[in-house]
Amino acid sequence: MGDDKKDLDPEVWVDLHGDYLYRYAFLKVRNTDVSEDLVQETLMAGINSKKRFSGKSSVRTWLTGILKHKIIDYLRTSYREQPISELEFGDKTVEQLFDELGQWKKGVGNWESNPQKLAEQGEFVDAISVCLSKLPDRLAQAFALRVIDGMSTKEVCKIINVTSTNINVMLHRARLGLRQCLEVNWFD
Amino acid sequence: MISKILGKLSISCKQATALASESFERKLTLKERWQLRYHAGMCIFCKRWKPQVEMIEKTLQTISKKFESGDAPEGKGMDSEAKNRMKEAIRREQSH
Repeated sequence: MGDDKKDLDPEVWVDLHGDYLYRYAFLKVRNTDVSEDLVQETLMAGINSKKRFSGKSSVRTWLTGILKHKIIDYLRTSYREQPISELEFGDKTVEQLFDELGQWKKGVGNWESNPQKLAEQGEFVDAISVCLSKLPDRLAQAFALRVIDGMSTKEVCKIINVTSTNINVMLHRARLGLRQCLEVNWFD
Repeated sequence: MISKILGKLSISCKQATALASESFERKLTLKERWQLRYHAGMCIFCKRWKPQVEMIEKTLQTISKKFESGDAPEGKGMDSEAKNRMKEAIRREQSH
């Protein structure tokens, strides 16, 4: 993964790293416009601090580090400016899946599959992406921070600005929704 | 006596999945673990639920690891218009 001098030229960064950074951002923020903005900010920041790039890591790793911070800042600001409302908690996922007795309305299918093999199938990865996109953005963001980034509940709470109980409710909703979507769109 | 205990262990599917989710976040109490086990023993749906969710999360973590190693799994990238705008902005910034 060595870089020659060419890779240090910002003009090639969009072609070399643009899509990678964009996909990275989109996975966490779930919004195309915001993702583009974050990528642009990252590249700008990279240009301005190019002198401080030590060359120890690859350019891509370095730019990704900048992007990571920008993503967290964006999320923190967004949740501070627009705190999660009761409405977002009163999401219909649970009612749609369970009846008045708390039993499954439609049941849970048998996914006979090898998890390893599934993860390697591009189409399954796409299906997960599509299902993530069907979740409400804020739910998907919280889920991404906790499950994809592996942040602790405490850290997620600080960014999203809610209690750990609330985070657990959000994560549960995300899990219910994701699994259900995959059942319908992939395994059926 | 036994029916009283079983009564306390009885939870709905809605509660069982909520507990299963909680188990991803913290250690369940002994009572909670028994409730989950008891229910999953009788309900095939709930028995399937947690491993399926685990598999989804594992796949997402695999995707994440790919990203961390600099690899971009497939997905939509930016359209060429957006890319050109960015290149323009970079050129402007560089010419300062």
